[in-house]
Amino acid sequence: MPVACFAGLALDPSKLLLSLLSISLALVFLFLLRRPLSNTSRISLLYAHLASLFFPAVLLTTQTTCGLLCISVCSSPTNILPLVLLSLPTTLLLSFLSGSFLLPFLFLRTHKKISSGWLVRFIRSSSLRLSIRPPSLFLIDKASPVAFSFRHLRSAVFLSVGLCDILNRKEVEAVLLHELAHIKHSTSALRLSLALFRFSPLSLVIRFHHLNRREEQEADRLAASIQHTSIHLSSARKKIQAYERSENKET
Amino acid sequence: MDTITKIRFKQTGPETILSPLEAKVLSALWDKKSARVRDLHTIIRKDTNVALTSVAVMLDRLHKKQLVTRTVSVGRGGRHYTYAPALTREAFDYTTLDTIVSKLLDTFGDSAVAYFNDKFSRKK
Repeated sequence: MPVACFAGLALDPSKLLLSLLSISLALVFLFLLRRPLSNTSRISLLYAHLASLFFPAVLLTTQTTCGLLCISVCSSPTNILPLVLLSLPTTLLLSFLSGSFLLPFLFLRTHKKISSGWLVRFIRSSSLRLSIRPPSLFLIDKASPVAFSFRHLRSAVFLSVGLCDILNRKEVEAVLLHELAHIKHSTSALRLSLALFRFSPLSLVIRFHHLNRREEQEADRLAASIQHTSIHLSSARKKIQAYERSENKET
Repeated sequence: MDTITKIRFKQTGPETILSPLEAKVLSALWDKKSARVRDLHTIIRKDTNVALTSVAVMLDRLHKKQLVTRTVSVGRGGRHYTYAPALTREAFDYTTLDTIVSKLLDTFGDSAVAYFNDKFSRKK
């Protein structure tokens, strides 16, 4: 069946042209992301890239040769306009839903929420200090030291058990403050969009670490200003890097 | 134990199939019965200059090899893993031997059987 779909797409010059145009647009959006832009523009470009990359795939599912997946509107292989009118909003809707709801929903559903203990108390008191709504705290059952946050649906901070294993209390607090700073600055939307970028095959060859470098520095500054020192944050970072180095070598 | 990838003939004990640090961590855990990363680090640090992060990595590797079990416990620094050996020393030796002998029998078949018969009859 998929072979028939591809054959159908390749044999129809208008659909082939449309697919190539869409993939070219995806590359253009990716190229534009390298320029200095605001967070909103970056997020829009990331979604535009993903949408134009997946548009040919949605177009495929509306092919007459795809049997069960075919929708009545595409019964005529030459009727390209209804196809586009159907595929384009579907792609945009799918990209938006996966970024705004599906990914956060999966993160929230697959991790255990912590509702008591000093970690929660610390998040509550620090949120009050930063004038933000206290986010929920979720535990990642992993030995690798990981921490991240997002502000979709509701704000949440994720912390791995391995992080608490190797960091002392002050260092864990520094990491939590860093994540709360991300929530305060609303930079987690960009970070989540960057996580969604992993669905793009081009993520294997292109990295966008520079996109959130400034946000990371701002979050570090806020965490250090609350703790009155950057010692704990930098020692936490050193330990995390040491863990990653140990992971890659045989001892 | 499907995780045996190499045998170090120059070593003895768990080091035969595990890395030196993995073997040290597992031996310390056999003595302690159950422990957190920090507790094991304190014990191992007395003999070897090793970082806390290295001990954490070794424990995670042993967990992936199903040689240790872990549970999340609440402690002073938040949530922690408490590790425990999945096998006793004796069970570990038995499983290692069983895996190696089974591999020899699979690889050499009748020659291996004949060799073991000869070896054990001479020992008697």
